[in-house]
Amino acid sequence: MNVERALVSARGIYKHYGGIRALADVSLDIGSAEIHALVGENGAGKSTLVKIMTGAEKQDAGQVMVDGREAQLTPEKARELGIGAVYQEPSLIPAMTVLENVFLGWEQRFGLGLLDHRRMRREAAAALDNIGARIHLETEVATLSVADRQLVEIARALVQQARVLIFDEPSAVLSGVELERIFNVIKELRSHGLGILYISHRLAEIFELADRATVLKDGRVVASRPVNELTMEDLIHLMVGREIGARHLRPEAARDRIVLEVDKLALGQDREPISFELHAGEVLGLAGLVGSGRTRLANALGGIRPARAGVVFRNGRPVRLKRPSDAMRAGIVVIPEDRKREGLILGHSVRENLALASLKELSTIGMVSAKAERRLASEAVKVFAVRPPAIDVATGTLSGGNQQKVVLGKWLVRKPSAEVVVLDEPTRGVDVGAKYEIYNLIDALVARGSGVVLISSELPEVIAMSDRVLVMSAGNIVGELKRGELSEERILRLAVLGREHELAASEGGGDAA
Amino acid sequence: MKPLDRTEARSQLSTFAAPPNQGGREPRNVSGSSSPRNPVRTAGVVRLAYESVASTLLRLPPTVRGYGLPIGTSLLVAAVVAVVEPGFYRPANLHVVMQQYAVLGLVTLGQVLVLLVSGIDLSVGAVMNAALITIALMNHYNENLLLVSLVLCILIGAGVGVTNGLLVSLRDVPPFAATLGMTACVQGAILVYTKGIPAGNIPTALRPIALDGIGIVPYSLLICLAIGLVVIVFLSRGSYGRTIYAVGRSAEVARRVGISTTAVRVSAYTLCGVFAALAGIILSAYVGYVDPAIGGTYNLQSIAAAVVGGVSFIGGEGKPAGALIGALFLLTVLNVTTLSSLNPFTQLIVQGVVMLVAVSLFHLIKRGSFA
Repeated sequence: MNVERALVSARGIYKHYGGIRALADVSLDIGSAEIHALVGENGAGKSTLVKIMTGAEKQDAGQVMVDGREAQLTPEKARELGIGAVYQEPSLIPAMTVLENVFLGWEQRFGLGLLDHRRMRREAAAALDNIGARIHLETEVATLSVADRQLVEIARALVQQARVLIFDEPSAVLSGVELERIFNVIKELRSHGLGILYISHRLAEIFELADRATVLKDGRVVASRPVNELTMEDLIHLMVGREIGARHLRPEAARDRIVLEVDKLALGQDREPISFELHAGEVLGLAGLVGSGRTRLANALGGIRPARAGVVFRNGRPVRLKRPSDAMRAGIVVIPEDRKREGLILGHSVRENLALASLKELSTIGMVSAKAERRLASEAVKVFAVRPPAIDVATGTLSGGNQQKVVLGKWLVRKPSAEVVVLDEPTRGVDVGAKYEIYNLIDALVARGSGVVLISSELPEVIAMSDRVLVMSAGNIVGELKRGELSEERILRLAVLGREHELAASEGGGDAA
Repeated sequence: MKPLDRTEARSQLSTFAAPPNQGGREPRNVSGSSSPRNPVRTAGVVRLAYESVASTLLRLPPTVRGYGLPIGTSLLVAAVVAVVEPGFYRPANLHVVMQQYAVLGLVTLGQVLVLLVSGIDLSVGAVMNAALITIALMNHYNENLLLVSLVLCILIGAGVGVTNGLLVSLRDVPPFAATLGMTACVQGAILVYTKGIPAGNIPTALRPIALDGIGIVPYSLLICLAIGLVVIVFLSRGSYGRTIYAVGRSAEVARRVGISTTAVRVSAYTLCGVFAALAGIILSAYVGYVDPAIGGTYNLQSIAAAVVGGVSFIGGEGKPAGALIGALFLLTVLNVTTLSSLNPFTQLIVQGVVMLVAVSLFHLIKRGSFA
């Protein structure tokens, strides 16, 4: 599509965060009456692009054009120019009514700052009617379903005269009928001439909905084609294939001793119970899309959010995992996904953070031994190569990679050392150097005989590090792949399509062989 | 491939220089060619002066900032007081200040514990009243039960604290509402028991706690300082202190390392209640008469003392030693203005202004240091 016909286009966008490249030379057009799908793996740069196109972030280089003219976007400017966005978790104020939310920051006034309620009511009702939403204007948003909230957010964009609407993974939190409703609304909006940018993990939706698909990989556009020229296989193939660089393979684990056995762990309603085993010296990868239940499983193992039913055995003995201290006693450690919120107290020093999980061991009659604490902290900083190698700096001042090393240090310097280590996205937002140090650490953990569960959305990482991979989808384990069978395509196909398709595919393969 | 063009750099600069103008679309603040008559200029000079003082303070090493400045400021205040109101240092007046300090110091220590776990306790005054009434009432019926009545006071304080803590941590009641509600309950109970007319006297056997002492220093102050020392040591060196600060800063991180956030919160409220009961006992020993509303002012005074001393409402930030200095500062200001010949209404204004300056100064000293 040429620039003249596009409502909004990105031209050669670059964006770096610290030393990490998020986007490189990304161009994309959203045309009138077009649904444009943006797909890519986690970390491919989709969210960054959305932030730039809605003015929430500024690009390092490149332009955003609106109606063919370059625009310096800020959130207000983007709204003025008719660019609206609907997020996965709608940005509405729950305690306010639908009407108040629709006109939040956009209130229509008479003079003197008095609100023109009649006019707002009329416009909001028209907008909701337009998208076929039967929601009462005086309803409190808190009482609405997620789908209805998304509709309210769409209505908000419409009263603000949006011509381009960006949907950031709305389907991740919807299902069935609700999803169908949103799809119909999106199609309806297209017929009114709006341009839609639709972001999703679920590839099947793209074929149902979109006119055009752009695939991002590692911050670059690898393809942008009309959807009718693409197949599901093409999309999967285009999305995968990222490099993590050469790593020598660890010798395969002996698998002679089971350190952790999970037996029919029930993680939620209408989810199948989960069972698997983890061996000493083994790295078990846990792959799946965001929201597939991997973190839920980690939190159940860590006693952070106990499972509803099921038994976990450590070295053959059943253990109780009702609270975090149970897991610590059982020698299970969970390194959390969100290190800023769950892993570290950012205002506290490296030393205090490192000591927090070992307070009991460091204390006699309730007093923390300053000497023992410094010894522990210094050792951890050295072993985990935290830079700068100082123990009295606030952790908030460290880089993402070094913060992660402190979290790892906090849990792994504890005595006795944990025999089961669950790492939830250990390399997210971490620079390349620290990434390799974390990989080496995982090697060291299994070398000493621990079992490691590695949760990661970076498929190349999962493949390079794991002895075995479990793939989760919608809260269930949908497949297990051994080292020889690992490929990004296989994992992604399982994660995206679920079990049946994999069965069908493997049966097909069996016939051919 | 990421050229930062000049307009962009400038807009970032202006965003930094003028936070309210978020878009940074008008970089005129930076160009600096405002006319000499511009009224903005005076404000600019004030700001410049403030910022140069601030940056000088921030450049001091943390140890100086942490200990030197509070001590220096205290000496300065002491000198100013000596000039402005020498009557402050008369032994009789000092004795009064020390009596008051023993009470406020204890309440403040408890308040600090609660503030550190992101709470607030508005029931300390009610607990103090309850202590006073309990002592008087039991003395009224049986004069030999003084010790029992003191134990009962402590138990009442602990009971109120435990209830506060449980309401806050298990029922998610906002601390403000929970402790205010407890105030109503306790005050109500006092009225029910006394039928509105306080009976009994403070037993004379209790009074030496406040009236006697070592030299000019009353026992009550020694009790307060001893407890203060224990709190300071346990918060800075003890594992209990670590858990308090961890829960206050990030309950989620604390929970994940196996700390029971409920136990920590309840313990903080309980200690606060116990300290308030002790303060009530000391207060009744000092005043020697029965006034069922005497503790009311201590709710806000203890919070003010803690805040002046650098304890934050957000939780996990601030130190008991700072709060003790804050309490001393607060009492000094109140005492000096009362001694002064100012008219009582003007006294209020002076107290308010001094407090505001003190709080902003303390936060200036603290800013940028995580110690």
